[in-house]
Amino acid sequence: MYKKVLVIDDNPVDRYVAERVFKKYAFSEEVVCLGSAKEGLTYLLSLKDSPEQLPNFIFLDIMMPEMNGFEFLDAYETLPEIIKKSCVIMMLTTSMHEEDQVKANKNPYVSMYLNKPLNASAIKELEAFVQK
Amino acid sequence: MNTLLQLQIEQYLGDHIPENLSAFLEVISDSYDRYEKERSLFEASQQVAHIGSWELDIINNHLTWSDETYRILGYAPQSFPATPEFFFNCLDPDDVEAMRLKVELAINSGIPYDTEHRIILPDGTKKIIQSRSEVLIDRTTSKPYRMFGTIKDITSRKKADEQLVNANNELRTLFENMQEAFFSVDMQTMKQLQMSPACEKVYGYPMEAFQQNPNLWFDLIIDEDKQAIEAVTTDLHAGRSSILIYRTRDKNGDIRWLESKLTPTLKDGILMRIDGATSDITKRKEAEIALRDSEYRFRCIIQHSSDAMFILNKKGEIIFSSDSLFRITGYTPEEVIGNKDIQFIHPDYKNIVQNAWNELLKDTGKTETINYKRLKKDGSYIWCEGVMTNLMHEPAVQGTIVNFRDITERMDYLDALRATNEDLKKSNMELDRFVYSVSHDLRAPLSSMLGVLQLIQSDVTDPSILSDLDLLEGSIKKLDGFILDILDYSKNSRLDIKRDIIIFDTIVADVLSHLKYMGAGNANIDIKVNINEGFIFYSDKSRIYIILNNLISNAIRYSNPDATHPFVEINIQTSASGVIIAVKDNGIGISENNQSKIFDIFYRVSGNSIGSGLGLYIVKETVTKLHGNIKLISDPGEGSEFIIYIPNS
Repeated sequence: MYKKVLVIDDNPVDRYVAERVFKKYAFSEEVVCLGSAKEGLTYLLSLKDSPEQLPNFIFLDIMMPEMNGFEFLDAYETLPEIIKKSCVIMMLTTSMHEEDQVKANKNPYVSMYLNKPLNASAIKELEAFVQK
Repeated sequence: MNTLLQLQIEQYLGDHIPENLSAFLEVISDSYDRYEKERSLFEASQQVAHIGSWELDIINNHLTWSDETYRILGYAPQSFPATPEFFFNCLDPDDVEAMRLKVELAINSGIPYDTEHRIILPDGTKKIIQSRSEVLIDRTTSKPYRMFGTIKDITSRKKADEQLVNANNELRTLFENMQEAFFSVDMQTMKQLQMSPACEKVYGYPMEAFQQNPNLWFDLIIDEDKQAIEAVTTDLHAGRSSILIYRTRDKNGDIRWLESKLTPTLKDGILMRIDGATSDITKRKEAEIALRDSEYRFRCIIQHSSDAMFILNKKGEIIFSSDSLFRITGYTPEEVIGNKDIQFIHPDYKNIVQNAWNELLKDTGKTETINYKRLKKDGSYIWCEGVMTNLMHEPAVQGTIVNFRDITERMDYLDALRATNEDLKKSNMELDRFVYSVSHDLRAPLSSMLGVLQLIQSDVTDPSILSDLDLLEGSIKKLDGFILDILDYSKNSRLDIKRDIIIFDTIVADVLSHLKYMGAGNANIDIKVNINEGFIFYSDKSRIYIILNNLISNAIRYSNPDATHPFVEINIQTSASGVIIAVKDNGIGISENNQSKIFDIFYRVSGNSIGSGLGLYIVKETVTKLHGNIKLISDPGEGSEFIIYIPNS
């Protein structure tokens, strides 16, 4: 079980489902859910001096108002190395847009592209991937 | 007394001449003197006439030649005694035999001869001689006893004759081969005096025809041109030569152009005869007419064309302009000739035109096409498409031909088209964003619902609640699938065809993993994949995905629940020209009745179908978009096979 995951999604239902699923299937001890990309960045930056508190995984939605998932990734690039070294980013989205998937796969910080909803089989897939 | 005579008498009678003879001798002597005189006169006349004479005493075989005879034969007069043999030696060897025969005939039978033969002079020159003889016959014995004759040098006359014959022959040849027919007409009797054989060539009728019908030449002239003949009559009567050009119709009904030169002969102011020559000028005339016509045609084309045409000299100055310039620019040719063409070009395009011009001058025969703006007389500019051809090397042109046309309307139209196209692209993109957003906005709550639903499913154990939840989950998935179908349909109909290398292994794997994730997978179904990608296949990746996704999901979805060994077989075979994709199953199959309808939009085979009724319609549309075709083989209860061919793009 991992210590901490961060979920960035503007949809409260999805945040709720994520929190429940991660806990239910004992993927992570702590699940931090944030409603916007900006909040996510602020949160990560606030932990730069205590890197042991940084999340192991960031589950990032794409379609979000104000700052979308890709804009978050651009900003993420400018974050201190210590933060980037600690976190693994997973895209978690309903987007069927081929370009989104291609774009996500090209981004060096994105490790995996997951389709919603998060459920038991998705956790299995995730664990299988992480173990590799 | 003649001294010679006296000497002979003295020889004959001794020194004394009897008295009675003396008077007689006086008379004879006088006669002899006269004879002597006449004889020398005779010799002189022979010399002048180049006629020599001879006498042969047949009885004594004694031959005498006159002085001129010696001269003709090439010897000094009386320098040796004449003999018949010597004469035969003087002859051309080819003529000796014939001459001997003639002489013998004369001596034996008294038949005189008059013949021509050749002699060879001591210096080797040849001469032609006319020989004549006369024979005296003894009345009592009836035998020839004396022969005399003449020889005459006729060499020069003979030569002149020959030359005359040759000249005549040449003249005749010339006359007969002349392309012109010569003729003379007696104007009093209107009789054809002469007509040369060339008339057959010129008029198409033989000489006889003109003799029979003296008016034939006039009859042949076509009616419209007969006036022309009458027009020159006055000239001819006034003694002035005339040249006439007119048309005749020959035996075949063909028109011939003829030219006649007529020379009148007047006597006391009255036209006596006309001499003339007529030649066939049809070819020349036809060439003239063809040239005139083609010139006229070209002139018409140039002047009436919607193009204007310039000829520019080396300096770029306009040296010719077609009248059509006025229609296009409002300038008359006179207003532009002498000016440089470049001054009529819009400042923004001077460079382009100048560069093209410089390129053009590098090679003769070269052509450059450019679009530019040209000044009109009213100060406005028009769009022109100009074609310049370097014809500096053509002596008739010695310049550059520039033709241009007003393409303002076309350019405006193109601009409008471009703008419309931009608009369309923009709205297409907007539509794409719209479809994308809508599909996301519709799908997001569905996936949220599904997430929550699956949480509940994992929490409860009551079978009746679970079965209700399954119904709910099925409905959500159906709705989601429907949205995805609409998305696919929209993608296919709007997006341009892309060209990627298709790797079927990857695509099929993606499809299968996606289907599994969507819960469409069925663990019992044996999925056999058989891909042969020996040839590289180019096509649109997302469309190939749509096709495979729909066919494979259908094959899984409509498997036969009663089959002991349900399978789906995917066969993909690429070739140089394209790919054959076959998806085969042993599922429920499709009745023949339904086979033609399954590709229709929103058609669903039964109420039990869980699809949207869009899947196969989208497949068909997509295959069509990729210029391929689709075939279905199916038997209810046995299974179905969809075979698709898509050409390489």
